[in-house]
Parts: sequence; C-alpha cells; structure tokens
Amino acid sequence: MNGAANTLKGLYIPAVLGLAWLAGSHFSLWNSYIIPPPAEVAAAFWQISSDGSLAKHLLTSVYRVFVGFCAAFLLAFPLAVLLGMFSRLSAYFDITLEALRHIPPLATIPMLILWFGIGELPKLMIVVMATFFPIFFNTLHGVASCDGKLVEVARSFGLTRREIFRRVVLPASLPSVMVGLRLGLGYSWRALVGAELIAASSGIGYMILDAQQLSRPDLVIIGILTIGVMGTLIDLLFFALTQRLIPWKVGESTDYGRG
Amino acid sequence: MNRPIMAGVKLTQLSKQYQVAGQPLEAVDNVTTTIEPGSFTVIVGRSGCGKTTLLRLLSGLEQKSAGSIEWLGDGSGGADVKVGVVFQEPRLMPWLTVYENMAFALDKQPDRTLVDRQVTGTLEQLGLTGFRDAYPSQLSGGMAQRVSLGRTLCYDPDLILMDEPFGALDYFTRKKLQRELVDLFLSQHKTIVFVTHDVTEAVFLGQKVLVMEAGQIVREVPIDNPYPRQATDPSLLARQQEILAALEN
Repeated sequence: MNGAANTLKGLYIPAVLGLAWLAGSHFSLWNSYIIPPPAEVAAAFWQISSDGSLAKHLLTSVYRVFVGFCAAFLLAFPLAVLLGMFSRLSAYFDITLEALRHIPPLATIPMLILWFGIGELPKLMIVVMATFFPIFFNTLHGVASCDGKLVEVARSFGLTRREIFRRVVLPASLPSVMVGLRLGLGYSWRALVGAELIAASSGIGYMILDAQQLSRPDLVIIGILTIGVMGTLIDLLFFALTQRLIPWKVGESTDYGRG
Repeated sequence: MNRPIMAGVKLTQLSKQYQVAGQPLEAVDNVTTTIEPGSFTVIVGRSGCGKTTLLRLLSGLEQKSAGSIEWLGDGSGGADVKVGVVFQEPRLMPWLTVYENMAFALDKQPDRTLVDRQVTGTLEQLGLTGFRDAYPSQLSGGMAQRVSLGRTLCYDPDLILMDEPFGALDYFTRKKLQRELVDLFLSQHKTIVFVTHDVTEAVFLGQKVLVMEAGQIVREVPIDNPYPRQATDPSLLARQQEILAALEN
C-alpha cells in the first residue's frame, strides 16, 4: 500500500542512531576505543571490502546458511507432512521432538567438535538444528489445520487421497510453510554466527572473533552491522517471494509471517 | 458416452445410525422414497431432523448403516452416476481464482479448450464474467455461493445435491438465487435434490417436497404449479400450510 512512506518511517531510527554516533564521536563523549568513530569504521570497511576479505567471510557464511537451510528443509518438510497427514504416527515422535526442541543448538558444539572435528559438517549441523523446528512446526500446523470442509469438497468430486493432498492440503498449508521458512532463515543466521564464533577459520562470526583478539572494535562493528543488513536483505527477498507464491493473501495482511 | 444425462435414485429402507454419547441415534431411519430423473425434489425439516445426513448418504460422504441406494439412469442402468454437491458454505479454495475454482473438478479433462468453453459459459450464465480473476476473499457471500454452484455445474453431474445453499444469504440475494436456480433447472434438465428448513423456499422451488421429522419422511407433498412461480400464489400458500401442519404434529 503506502510502502515507500513506511520504508521512510522505518529509516528514522537508524538515521537518529547514526547521527548520535557521529555527534558523540565528534564531541568525544566517549572513549574512541570503546565506540570507534564512524570515519574509522568506514575506513576499515573500505579496506576489508577492497581487499576482498569481507566478501570472502560473507560468502562463506551465506553458503553455510544456504546449505544448512536446504538440508533442514529436506528433513523437516517431509516429516511434518507425514505427521500432519497421519496423525497416529505423531505419538511415536512427540516426546523426542519436544525434548530436542528445547536444546539450544550451540549447547551441542562440544559434542559436535568431538565427533566431527572443526570442519564444515558441525557448522552445517548447527544451522540444520536451528532451522529444523520452525520449518517443521509451521508445516505441521499448516497441514494439520487444513480445513476439512475443503477436503470434503475434493472428495465429493471424486479426487483420490493423493490428488487431495496435492490440490488441497499442500496449497492450503503453503502460507504456514512460508512462515516457517522465513523464521527458519532468521534462526539459521543467528545460530551460524554463533557456531563460527567458536570454531571456524572464516565466516562473519569468525571475523568478529578475530577482530576481538586483534583489538579491532571497528571490525567488530562492521561484522555486527553486516549480519543485520544481510538478514534484512534475505528477509526482504523472501517476503517478495511469499507475496508471489501466496497472491490470495496479498492485501489481506501485507506483513504476513513477520514477527 | 453412454452415461445418463439425468439420474434419479431409489432409496429403500435406508438408515444411518450414529453413536452420540454412547447412545445410538437414528439420524436417518428407514427412509423409502424415489427421486425421479430430471425432477426437482426439496427435503424440508427442522435442524437435526436428518435431512443433511440423508443428503450426505446420497453424496457418498457418509456410509449407510442399512438399506439400499439404487441409481436410476436415463439408459445406462444407473451405473457410474456423477453426483455433485453444493454445500451450505461456498467452500471455495482461497488460493484459486473464481475461474480456477470453477474448473477445480475438471482437472482430469485433457481437452483444455473444452474446459475453457465450459467454465467461460458457466461464468456467463451465472453473471460472474467480471469476477473471473478475483479471489474468493474478494467476493460477497452471494457471489461466492454462485461460484460454488458454478463449480458443481462445471463438473456436469447427473444429480445435484444442495444442502441449504442459500441459508446464509440475505433475503434479496436469496430470492434472486432461487429464481436463478429455477431458470437453471429449466434450461439444464438436471435432477436436483435441495435441502432447506425454509418452507417458503421449499414450495417455491420443489416439484415434490419431502417433509422429514426425526429421521423419517413423514409426508410427501407434490407441487405441480408450473415455473416460474409467484411466492404469493394462494395454491402455494396452501401447500405451505400443509407442510407446516405436517411439521408441527
């Protein structure tokens, strides 16, 4: 609707914070080691952008999120569909899934390192663990809450079970699935950076940790801002995709699944 | 194609029993009647009298407990009768446009130009051409129910079952759709079984009104007034009194 105006409104707070940062540094309201001035951060940003190290770290992280996210989807989606369609099966899975849901992925890092070393695999597993549940639960909710009256319509037209799944249950649960995917993406970013903080030699999380050890708060700030900006960009992309895939919801609630 | 164009149905001692709180409940109790091919039959009764259950037995959405349902065809001996249902709510797929909803039951038809002709024709017939690409959430209740009727018409059933399809609509929309349904019946020669609790609607639409009470048909009232009917016609009002009297016994 009034998207441009709302985008503008959304930029007020970042602008005020930016100005406060500028002014505070200019008038030396704080120690420049604790909060380095914008110019210094900009110079560092320019330096690591031009030597390609920022791009390298970023690409590594994006790649890990992408692979982990896809793997989580391939695990969570079929299982959720299965349990949603055959609710009798869920008795076998309920307790296990409920217990696993409460374990923060980062808590498993020591074991993952012990079992799989510090290569790519444990980091991807962290992403998968963090992404699995939002996708799983939202898909399950979508499939299980599909309106039985619509299924009945399909039955009255003589559709088979398989056709009913493809033509009624799947599209009916699509909005929920998309919510799960968006939440999952956010979760995978957070978990990944956490994983990279502990055991990695590249990636944005590693970059931040490395900067800490080199006493470079400017690089830490760049790392933090990069995570925020990347997350927002990916989410926007996903939001556009959602609008495309779920045209019948457009206008009903434009910020579908944000939260 | 040796399918019947119209189908009737003969019910013999048809029963449906439910367990409600551990007690058996005869929702449909020993119903025997015949619905002639090409006829317009209305089943009337108060809530819980079993009329919807009877309709669901005919549609195959419920399994009978006892008795028989025998299809009467126009030539094929009643084999493979296509039954279409119009529900009380429109029950449209929210992710499909009006056009796609109408074509919902035609997915297996390989000739898409045939499908297009069928859907476009039905859209026109129901005055929905301008709403072709709208989504159900953008439609009024009356329009949505038209689409629902159109979806069933596109399916081209031999028998149309309608479960209080106009019950949730406002007075004016309901009157309009009743008239349109009569026109459709006259032009398409479909067998229609229509369930309602509205006695006025029953005598306006039906050639035969089956009065149901506690799972049984307590009275069959034939109405041979020609279409289109006037709701104020004294002979219709007399029929209406007769039905009300049967219901109040």
